[in-house]
Amino acid sequence: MQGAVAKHMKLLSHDTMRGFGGVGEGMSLQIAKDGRRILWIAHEWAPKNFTAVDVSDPRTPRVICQTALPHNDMRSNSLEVSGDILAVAYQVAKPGGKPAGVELFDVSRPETPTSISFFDASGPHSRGMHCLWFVDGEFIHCSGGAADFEPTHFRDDQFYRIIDVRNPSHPVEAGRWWYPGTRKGDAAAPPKRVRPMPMDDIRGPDAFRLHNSNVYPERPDRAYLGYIDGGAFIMDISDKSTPKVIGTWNPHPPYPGFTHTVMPLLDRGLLVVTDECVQDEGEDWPKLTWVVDARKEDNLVPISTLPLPPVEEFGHKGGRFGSHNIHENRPGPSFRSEDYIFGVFFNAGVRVFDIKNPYRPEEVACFIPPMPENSRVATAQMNEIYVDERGVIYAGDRWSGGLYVFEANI
Amino acid sequence: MTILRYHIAFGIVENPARVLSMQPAALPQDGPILSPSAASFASDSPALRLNSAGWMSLPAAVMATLRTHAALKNYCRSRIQKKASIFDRPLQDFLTSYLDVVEAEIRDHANDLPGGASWDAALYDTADWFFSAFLPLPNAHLELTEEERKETGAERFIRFDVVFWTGTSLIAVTLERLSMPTPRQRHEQARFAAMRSDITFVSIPRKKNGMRLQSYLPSVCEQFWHGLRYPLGPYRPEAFRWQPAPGRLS
Repeated sequence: MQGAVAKHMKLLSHDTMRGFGGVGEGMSLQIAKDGRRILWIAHEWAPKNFTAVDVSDPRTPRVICQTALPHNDMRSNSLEVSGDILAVAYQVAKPGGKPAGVELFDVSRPETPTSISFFDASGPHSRGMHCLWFVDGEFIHCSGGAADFEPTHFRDDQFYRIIDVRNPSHPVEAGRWWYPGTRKGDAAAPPKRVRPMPMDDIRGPDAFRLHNSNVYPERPDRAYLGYIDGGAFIMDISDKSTPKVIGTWNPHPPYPGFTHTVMPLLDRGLLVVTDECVQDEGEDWPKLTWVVDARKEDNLVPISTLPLPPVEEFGHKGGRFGSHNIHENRPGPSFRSEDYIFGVFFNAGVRVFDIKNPYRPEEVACFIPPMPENSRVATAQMNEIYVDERGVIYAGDRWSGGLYVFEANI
Repeated sequence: MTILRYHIAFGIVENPARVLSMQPAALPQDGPILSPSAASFASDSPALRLNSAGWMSLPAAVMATLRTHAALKNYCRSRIQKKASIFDRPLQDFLTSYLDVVEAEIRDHANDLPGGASWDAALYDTADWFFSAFLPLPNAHLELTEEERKETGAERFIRFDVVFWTGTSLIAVTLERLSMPTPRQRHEQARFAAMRSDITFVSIPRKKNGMRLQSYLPSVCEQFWHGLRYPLGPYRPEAFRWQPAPGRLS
């Protein structure tokens, strides 16, 4: 690929997904009954809902299904597939909009997804669901609003919700938790804002709402939450109806906010915690990925960060620069590593880190694609990543580049 | 018969090449080289046991405080445990299990152990056989030959969670983890295994489903005292540091 920067990574293929190459924060791999590997991809923006790509041969990906949203004032930023059920998160542009919630699809025939049910999370103060986790076929863990939830600040509408989908035709709420002080009527005072300006923009850089909620089958009694400006949380969810805080860690402030993902490395007693860069031109630098010692769950200790390339080189290249999504070691047809971390860093591309020594992470591979055609910014903005159990790396550009497939020599 | 040489860096090791470069260059004729972070031995070397000299730092001042068998055993256990990273729970758990198995094995065979009920019981207790158990080399980086490097594509070392040298066999243990090997690591391991029939490769699953550790490592866990006349402790004069391999007893 002309103009790309590569170190120990090779591009196997690239697909702009029929011209709708804005990839959101959802990539999930299904092994279909006929053995095909189907990668389900969420879109960053309307008009598309989700796209299914047959990646059985990673050198020749092929779009086999692409669906549309009901209108353009919404997005389906996140999705997960578990078995033959696909869960898609719907978020609307303004509180009160619809449809806002989670839709379940039967994808046993990947070319023709069929809606099973819809869990409604709309409400006068809700934008619906932003991000979801669904790996066990039984419970969806997600960030969402609710009809009965009035936040103390309008940007704090999405909190931790657990949805029981054991009967996929009839999803029901199993539990919820929110940051104390973010709901009107809470005994706790509202949290002090980290970066409150601009106050009137619902997409502003400051929020005490949930982003990712990760739950692994090896520790079904734990949820790992990235609560944006509230930091990282380890929750006891042995009783899903009443999640309880076990441990928390928050570098914001002085760091500029937006804890995104909290991924446990369960064999090692570590957490990998990412911030999300949410502003262009290095405005919110440094957005870091932290390695946290979690051997003692109620005393989380940061011990290092993943090294990023120089801000003077990347800060003003165009678009965002800094941490965002990582491959989350989910079960299924997924590569699971506690030694290597695969991440996307917007204009700094796809990066792989060796954290065998967690005090001194080292970058071992990277790939930065050139600016894709029709992008709104001057660089590729690598936004989402998934690694399958064969070690094949799938990553997506936020604006127009679509799907990039790699292999790494690590 | 070809004599094979094994060079292993082990314990908390970041740079195995550097560890080995800090060891004496040649094997002494009368025994293996064992240090707190490296082992170099040959296929005719005696077994590496907990009582083998060199791997454990036991200054006389510390020894003087270890007045009971239990205190000495616990010190030995703690030295082994410290060879696993604080961020490696599977390895920590394995070492704990292994040492528990050793203790249980001695208890279960107390009446059969040499000297257990004889006149020399006054000199030592059957529990002292603990120190005759095979020495686990945790986080072991085995140095490859030039040919092996070429064939496997690996750099200088191949890593195993634990290695044992029983005097007759090198046993390389891999613990199944949540972490998967990378495609390159898988390739290197498969190629290496195909080349080394002298090594016994053992993979221990994460969920043993009721299987005991002995089931996976019978030659290490069971009757490890076979061929030994009496138990030796980890602290003794230089002249008694090495016990001959079972095959060289007569």
